[in-house]
Amino acid sequence: MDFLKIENVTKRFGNFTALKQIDLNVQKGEFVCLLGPSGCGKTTLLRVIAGLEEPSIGSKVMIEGKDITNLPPAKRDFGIVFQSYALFPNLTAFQNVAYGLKNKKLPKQQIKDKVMESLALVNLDHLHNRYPSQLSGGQQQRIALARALAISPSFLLLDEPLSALDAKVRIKLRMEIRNLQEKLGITTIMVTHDQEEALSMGDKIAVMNNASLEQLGSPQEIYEKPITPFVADFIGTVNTFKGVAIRPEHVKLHTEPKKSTLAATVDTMEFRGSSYRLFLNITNAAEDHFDKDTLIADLTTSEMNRLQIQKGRELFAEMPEKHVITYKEQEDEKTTVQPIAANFK
Amino acid sequence: MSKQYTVQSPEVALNTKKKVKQKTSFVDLLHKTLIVLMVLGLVVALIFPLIQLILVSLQDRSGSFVGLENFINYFTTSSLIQPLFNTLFVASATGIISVTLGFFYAYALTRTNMPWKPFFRYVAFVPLFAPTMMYGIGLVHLFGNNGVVTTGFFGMFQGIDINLYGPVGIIISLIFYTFPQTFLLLTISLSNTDYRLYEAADSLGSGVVKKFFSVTLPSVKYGLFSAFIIGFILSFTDFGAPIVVGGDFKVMAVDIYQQVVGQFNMSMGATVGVILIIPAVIAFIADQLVQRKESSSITAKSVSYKIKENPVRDRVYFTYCLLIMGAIFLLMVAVLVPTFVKYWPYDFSFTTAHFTFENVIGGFKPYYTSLLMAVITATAGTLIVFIGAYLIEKTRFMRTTRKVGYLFSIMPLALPGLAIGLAYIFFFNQAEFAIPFTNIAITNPLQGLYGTIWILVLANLIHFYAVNFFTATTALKKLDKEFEPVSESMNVPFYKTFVRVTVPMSLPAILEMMVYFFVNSMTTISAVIFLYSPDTRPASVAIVDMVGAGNMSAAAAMAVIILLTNIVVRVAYEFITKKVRKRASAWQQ
Ligand SMILES: Nc1ncnc2c1ncn2[C@@H]1O[C@H](COP(=O)(O)OP(=O)(O)O)[C@@H](O)[C@H]1O
Ligand SMILES: [Mg+2]
Repeated sequence: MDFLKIENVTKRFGNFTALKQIDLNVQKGEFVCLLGPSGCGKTTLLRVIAGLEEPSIGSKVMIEGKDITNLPPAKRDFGIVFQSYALFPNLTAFQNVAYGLKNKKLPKQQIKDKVMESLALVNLDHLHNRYPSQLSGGQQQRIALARALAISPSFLLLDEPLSALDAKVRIKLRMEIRNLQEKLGITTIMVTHDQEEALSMGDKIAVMNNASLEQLGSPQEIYEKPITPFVADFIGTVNTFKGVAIRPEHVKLHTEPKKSTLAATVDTMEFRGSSYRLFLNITNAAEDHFDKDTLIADLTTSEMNRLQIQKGRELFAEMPEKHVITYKEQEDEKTTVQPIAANFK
Repeated sequence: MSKQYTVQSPEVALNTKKKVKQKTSFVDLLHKTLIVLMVLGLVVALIFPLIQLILVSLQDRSGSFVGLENFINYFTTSSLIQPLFNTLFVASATGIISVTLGFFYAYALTRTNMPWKPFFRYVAFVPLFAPTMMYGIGLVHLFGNNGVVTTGFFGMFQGIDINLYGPVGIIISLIFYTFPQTFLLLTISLSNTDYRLYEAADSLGSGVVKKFFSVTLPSVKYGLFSAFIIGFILSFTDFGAPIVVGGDFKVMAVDIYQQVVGQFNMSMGATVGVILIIPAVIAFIADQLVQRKESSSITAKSVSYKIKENPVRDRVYFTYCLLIMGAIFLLMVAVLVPTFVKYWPYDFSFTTAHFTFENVIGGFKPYYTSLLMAVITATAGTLIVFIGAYLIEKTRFMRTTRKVGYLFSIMPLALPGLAIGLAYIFFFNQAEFAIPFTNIAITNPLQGLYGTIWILVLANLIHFYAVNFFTATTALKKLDKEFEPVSESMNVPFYKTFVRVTVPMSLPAILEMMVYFFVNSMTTISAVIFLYSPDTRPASVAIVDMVGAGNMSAAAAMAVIILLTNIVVRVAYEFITKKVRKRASAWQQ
């Protein structure tokens, strides 16, 4: 059974539709990333799950088979970390983490133990007497996480928890959060607009665009088999032609023409450390299937040296069939897809 | 249930405007009840009295409905409409002069390197702490029939008569009264200017005068407008200055008072009261629109003003500020000296008898009444307004109700004290209310308030509601809007977070609100002049009575006591705020 089941969730603000019939299933212990561009409705969906926004009639949110759509947030048993962390500035780290426990009428010692245990989880037990302003951004983030976990919630909601941090801290915290989540086995939904973050952290990624859910799948599925042009384009870089697409690293370049290769000349080269990114102009794009005449290809440095690639040089691009992406909507328009696919062979 | 929805076509589901209703827990119910109570409270204390005021303005003296007859009468009878023109003239003149003086004062404090800046800043605020009658009294001592200047220092020199009683006296008094407000607004406006504009002007080689007209003035034009509006409205509705130095020059505030108290013509009083509100409402809306524009003109990239070296400019502005300060100082002296003199200006022997009030108003009772009223208003008012602002700003329930609550909360900004006072007489003094279109009448359960100190407190609370509401809202907006959802997620009731986080974090604003309520309750005359009973006569009303009875020195003494009380409270506030900030510095950067 799905741990969290979202059915037909629609949310309107006046005449504006922020969520359009979202369906989403999350398994117990899973880490799901809600990924999408700014303003697409990720936070709104998270808030609907939390009960902080009331969705339109007909929407359904279920936890372990129990309909919780009309339960207030306090009855839903989740922990949440907001983008701003929302730590109480006038309370110490300890008091912040103890905040939700105080209300549970537990004995003092038990609260203290639980708080210190939660702080230890995020490795900040030694800073329990600090006020939030005396902590770094990353530390604040971890205190907020400890506060959310201290109440032992049955699931965790994170809204862009890392977006306010600088790059180095962000990458370190990605792993920490993921490790912690695995250790506790807590079902987690995290909102992010950073595709790299989603790919590296999520068991599953739910890609959203324009108030709708575009695709739900593992990072590999999302990357290898995007079902809409939006998903393909939003996650990584992609060469999109009519109805089909291919990622730059899957484009194979040859010095001699082969069967179904495209002739192209090197326009610009970008050095990226371990690889190069080439921008090529397609020269024999006689077929009207190619509505674009540039092609992006990624090559390792050694490959670059082997092929002795220089600006202006003519190359022949092969697009291995197993890496060619065809989009769902076009599947039934076989007639247009077929010849192009043939071209790639 | 679920089946029913899954078969719905997408269009139907999408077009559903109805939201899922969450179950209401006890805490949520409490939360919602408080919101409803807040709005209902404003309906009873503000909307109902206003409606009653408007109803009375549509009745003749015997209480039968006459439509707009009173208004038509007002606008077509030259003796009735004259006070309107008088008031417009006085208010416009005061607004313009006060803004001009305030602008250069603010400029001196923000754009020059002159010495004594903090001193000048404090002195400029002193007039805020006195009832408006005080300026009139000071002016009478200087320029009145027996004034020091009028008589040429009692015959030593050639006297000068400035024709104090009438527009001259009113305008000078009101300039003193409005100066702190216009000056404060313009200080804010001038310190918000983007210095990059000046750098650009410098690089174009613009001269001082050109820069003043092409950069400085345009960048503070909204501030100038707002300051003028404030000056205009305060003067338009003031009662204290014209009652002392107005002479035969009748302004609307005095007209209302005379219609109601002198002639018992309630319906004409109400009519003038309604007319008094109109310009305030227009100005208020205009100001809101302009402020909306201004908020977009300053960006995060703006650079703050850098003051260049210019000793000549500094000396000019220093002299200017000394003159302004001298005027305030002179007026204070003119108020103060006669209070220690036996019989101004005939017997100059020293006495403190004027400070006993024994033979004029029977001692200190009015002062104690004011003090009690101000303390209650400050505590209860701050509590109510802060909670009200919190409910509107920090709740996720009842969006529409909260919007209505917001509208009601800012409405008092456009309501002159006199209109509130008048509305309160009509509403709270009414024995019963007939329910429209029925024969049912209900007895007024609030009539018991009439004649007690509580109606004075309530009138002050409403009169100063909006300003404090803005103070509270500004402070609340600075707090993370996720404090409440986070607490909710941890099943912590809202009131716990309110007490533990919201209030401690807003303490400076809360103290500011208390002082504002206190100071204004001590000095106000307009809202309470209609509402006091012999038992609850506040000090400000006692001043007017003493002026009316010709006891200028005793009236001045009372004004001085009010002023000193307010200064003491203000200093205490500064002291406590410093402590609070010091304590808070532990968790602030
Ligand atoms: N309370 C609200 N009222 C009106 N519109 C809102 C509200 N909250 C969010 N929106 C709108 O809904 C859209 C989605 O917002 P959000 O869920 O915050 O996006 P994301 O988190 O994906 O950036 C945005 O266009 C936003 O302006
Ligand atoms: Mg968001």
